[in-house]
Amino acid sequence: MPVAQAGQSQADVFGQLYLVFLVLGTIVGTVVISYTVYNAYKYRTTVGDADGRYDVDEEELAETDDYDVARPRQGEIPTGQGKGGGKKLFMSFGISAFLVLGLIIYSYTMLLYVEDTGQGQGNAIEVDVEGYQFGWDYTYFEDEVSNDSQVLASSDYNATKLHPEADSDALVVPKGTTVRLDVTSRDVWHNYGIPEFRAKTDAIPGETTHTWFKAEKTGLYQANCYELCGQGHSNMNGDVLVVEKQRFIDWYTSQENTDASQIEFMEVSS
Amino acid sequence: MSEHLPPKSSVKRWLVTTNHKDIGILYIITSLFFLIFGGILAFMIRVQMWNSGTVILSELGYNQVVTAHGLLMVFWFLSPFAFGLANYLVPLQIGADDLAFPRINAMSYWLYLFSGVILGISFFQGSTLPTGWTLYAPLNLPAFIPSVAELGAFSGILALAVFVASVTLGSVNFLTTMYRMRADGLRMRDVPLFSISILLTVWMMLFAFTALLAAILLLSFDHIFAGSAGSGFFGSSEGGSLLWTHLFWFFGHPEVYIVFFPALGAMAEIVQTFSGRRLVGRKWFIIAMALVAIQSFIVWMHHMFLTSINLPIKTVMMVTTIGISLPFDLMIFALIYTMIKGRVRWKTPFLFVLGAILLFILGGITGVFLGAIVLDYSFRGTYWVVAHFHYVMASGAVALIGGIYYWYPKITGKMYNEFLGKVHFAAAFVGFNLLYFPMFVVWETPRRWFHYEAGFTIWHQAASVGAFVFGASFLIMFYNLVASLYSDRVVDESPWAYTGSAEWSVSSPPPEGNFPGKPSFATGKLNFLDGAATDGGEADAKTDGGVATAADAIEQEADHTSWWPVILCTTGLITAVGISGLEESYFIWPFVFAIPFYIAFVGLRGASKDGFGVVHGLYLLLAGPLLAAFLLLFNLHHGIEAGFGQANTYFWVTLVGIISGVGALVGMGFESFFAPEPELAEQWPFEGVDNTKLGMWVFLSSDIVLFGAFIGSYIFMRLRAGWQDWWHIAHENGLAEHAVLPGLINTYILLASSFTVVLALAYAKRGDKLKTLAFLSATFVGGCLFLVNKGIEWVEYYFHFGWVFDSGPASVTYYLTTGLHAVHVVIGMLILLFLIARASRGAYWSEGETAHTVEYFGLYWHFVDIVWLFLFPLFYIL
Amino acid sequence: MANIKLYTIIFVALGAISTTQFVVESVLPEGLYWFGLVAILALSTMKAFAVAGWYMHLREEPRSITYLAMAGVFCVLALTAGAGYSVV
Ligand SMILES: [Cu+2]
Ligand SMILES: [Cu+2]
Repeated sequence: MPVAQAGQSQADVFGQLYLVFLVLGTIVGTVVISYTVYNAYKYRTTVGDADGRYDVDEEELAETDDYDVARPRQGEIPTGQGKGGGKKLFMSFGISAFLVLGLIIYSYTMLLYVEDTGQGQGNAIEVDVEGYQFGWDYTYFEDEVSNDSQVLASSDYNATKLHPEADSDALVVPKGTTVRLDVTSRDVWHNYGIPEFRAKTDAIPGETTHTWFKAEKTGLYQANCYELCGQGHSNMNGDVLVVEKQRFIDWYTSQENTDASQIEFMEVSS
Repeated sequence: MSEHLPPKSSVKRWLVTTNHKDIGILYIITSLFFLIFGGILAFMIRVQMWNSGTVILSELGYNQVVTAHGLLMVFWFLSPFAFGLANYLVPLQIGADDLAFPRINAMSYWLYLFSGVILGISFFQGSTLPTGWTLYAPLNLPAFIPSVAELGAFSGILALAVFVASVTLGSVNFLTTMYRMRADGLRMRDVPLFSISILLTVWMMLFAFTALLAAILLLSFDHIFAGSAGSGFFGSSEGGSLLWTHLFWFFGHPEVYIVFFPALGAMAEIVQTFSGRRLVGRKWFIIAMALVAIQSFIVWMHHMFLTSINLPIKTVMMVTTIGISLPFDLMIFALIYTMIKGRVRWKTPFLFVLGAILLFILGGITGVFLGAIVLDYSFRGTYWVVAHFHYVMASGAVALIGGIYYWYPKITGKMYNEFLGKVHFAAAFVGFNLLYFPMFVVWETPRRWFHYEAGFTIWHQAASVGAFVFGASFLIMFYNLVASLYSDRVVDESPWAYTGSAEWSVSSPPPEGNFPGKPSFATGKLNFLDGAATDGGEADAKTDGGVATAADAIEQEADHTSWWPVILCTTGLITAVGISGLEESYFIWPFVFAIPFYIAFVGLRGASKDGFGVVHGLYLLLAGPLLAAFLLLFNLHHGIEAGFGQANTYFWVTLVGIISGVGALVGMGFESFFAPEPELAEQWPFEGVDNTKLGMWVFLSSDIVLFGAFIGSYIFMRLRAGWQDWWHIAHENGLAEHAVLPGLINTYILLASSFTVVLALAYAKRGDKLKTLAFLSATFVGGCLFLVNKGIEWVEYYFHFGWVFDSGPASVTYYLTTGLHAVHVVIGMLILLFLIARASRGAYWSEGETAHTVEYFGLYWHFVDIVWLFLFPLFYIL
Repeated sequence: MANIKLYTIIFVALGAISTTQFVVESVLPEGLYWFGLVAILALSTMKAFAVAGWYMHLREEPRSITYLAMAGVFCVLALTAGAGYSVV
């Protein structure tokens, strides 16, 4: 099974893992369901209902019973199962436990990769996201700058200039660069998610949560709200604009209130 | 007193009955009504989803519909549907005549029905809750609910509160019954699987729903005191939002199993019967269920993987979550292997259960996807989740529908139409999968959105068609169930072959007293022992920890009717509707005014019941001045004329509701209602504890969770704010001085009152009436002193320091937790008044009951004392 | 009378422990805050056990009643510890 490697994005990790789960899940599901239906069919009685009754006659069937299993009797105390079943039960339980535990441990290594990358320092675009009813505000590198007036916020720029179809307050990010998001909310609970990049995290008033992504293609994408947040929830989306690195650098440095040193790492690497 | 039940054709029968079989039927019918209600809302969702952005509902309307659909299906359909069956079947399966507390059982039903009615009313108060069934904070607060919707939203919250009351009473009742009233020789492990599943369900209910109650009480505070509470409890930026999710999901995850377990029990029974084979690995099946029930309380944060909780706790929750899925594998395999070497008959109940197993396998596998945190990150808030839990929940519903077909002949004495049953199954199964499978395909649709990508349209339309087929299939069922009542397909004890549990050994429907004789398994199989009455009366010497009941109990016949449950619950309905629109400044007054009325009612009713005594005169004399005093206080607050003149209708509704409510409470308290305890019964592990005492302890155990959730919330908020900064922050917010001494004094007072109760008990046991009364009265005085001291403290903090509700997390947790405690003290004092009135007239002495009654009360009072022993350090010292 | 004597002794002890809690808080230096916290809560737990054990006569009831109450306590501890730990 593929393991997470440095440089992979959340979308890559999700894609791999989802595929593994889907294949195994389909196999297991098909096997178990077929097995169930097969047995229910195989062991059906062909004997019809007893005269004037709505079910078979137990006494009659008892005469031809080749199986040594315990059959329920009226007014019984249900102790003892007769032969069979027990060993098989634990075998299949063991197999399913092995399968599930294996899958989860495997997925956990991926989780650690995702969390570590999200927690890392430097070499990333840091954006604070603040949800409100019903939209998103972005602020670039807020934590790195001591003076509030030095930060770039989505209210200060117009992303439409970069892409005619983008909303003016779109999130603008460079291609191929890790983008770390610190997400919170101004009013109620939202959830910020960009499905294309498999980045998603809760936007909770009073709390800050983190996620990250790396876009491999330029273009216009969508961020959605994934938690019911009021009347505008069904329409609560925002644009995410991915541009070439150089274009991002030019755009960023041309804005007022920006500090070019924040993105020095990009120029070094490009 | 013993009055026989009116015939089933009379309406009165269904209002006064306390018989578990009648109440079971009422539950089933009512829950099917709520199924239709919730189903219609589901249709509205599917119509709205026909095309992206189709609008038949406004945005607010859509949010209401998704919320009410979820609440109705989970709370008002699934659980009560299962509990209808449980009410009917559990006593039959364990060999009991009825539940331990029949009147309380009736109350459970009426509270359930009326809580649903309140939710229905909320639609007509402008709007019901528009917050999703999870009611995430702070969207659930008045500040974020459109003003047009506030009244109805609060009604929705109150409906939940009333529902929880119903559930808690039911849990106490079922636990007591199942532990204390099993037929002789029926060990707990031999109890039929459906009843076992109910036992585990009520255990989870007892604790999980109490946690929900705590959350709802705190939320109600935020709604009532929206003005002076500011951001309130859950609006607090110091973790209020996150705290709600903790409390909600601490309830919410066990709730999944609360809903599913009865279905699992029904599945086990039906697979056994229709495979003609005892469940394979029965013991392990039960152990697996018990493990799940316990573990369900330590997985809740898997609903919170994307919140700000830390990675270590996420890991723990991931492990426990995966751990909890494994016992289910075992249970499902046990069901499958039971079919092997079976005599499988594909009757309708079996088909439904087979279908349920298949749906559950799919729901389970897609659930493992969600257990992998990395995948969960992407699935969160999408239709993957919607599809997954519908597969699981509907698997439960489908199994219970199978249960209805299975037990229909038992309950009605008639066989349903097999052909129509199979048609129903085919339509339901196809319809269901057509409805929910496409949701896995288009899982990227954000949950609770009605806008989606154009490419998804065809799949959503398939789902909508499936919804129609699935819904329509139920019309076949309703027709079948009703028409079959009038058929000539009469059945005897057991229409099915290979039935084992006791309900199949009695006629269909079972006789009023359930069994033709005293059921006993002492010989290794079910026998009905001779004996005129079904309750008590056996001279059999072989009692194992049999309970000493009153000597004359043997001749007395059990009661089966009472008007008080329905009357009392109706007053509860009126009060709750009133509260929904009560203005903040009027909030406490109806309850305050009700106190003198209560005292007067106890005096009046006591005088007519027990014969007039000095104590009744005292009560009547006390009630008048007390009411006058309260009116005076009201005058200070509002001015009598202006206050009453400007009070809105809801104020008067509340007042009428609560005053008639205390009247009904007193009426019920004075009613003699005889529910016998079996003299010969299997009572492990509670031999030698009588029913009422066990009931009291069960209730107290849930009350531990209620206070625990309040205290836990306090600790959470304090940790979040910085444990040692707490008082510092409080001082900054206006708490001029926080004194420890008042807390210490109140500790002494409460300890002393505990001491006097225990002395009262000691003297009651000796039959010393005078001293008993003296010490009970001393306890009452202790309660008064405690409240006065507490009141001084509150007035000092609130008015002199200006440290109001809104003064930060320290103030809101302080007022609410000590307030909840004070309410417990007040309730204890009101019970004391009742007790003193009755004991002083000798009501209990002749029956030797005084000591018992004082003991039960003492348990409650000591518990309230113990709570204080922890509030004192947490809110005063540390 | 044996009972009443025992109840009285317990009552006096409970009062004494409460006083001790109060005293511990007022004399303990800041630096020992956490020690004091543990001590004070331990004393409260002792009191609770005394009330439950003797006044609610849990000692004389079948042990299962104690387990019943402990089940509630288990839920509370799980909730408090889990929720508290998740944010520190
Ligand atoms: Cu939203
Ligand atoms: Cu869960």
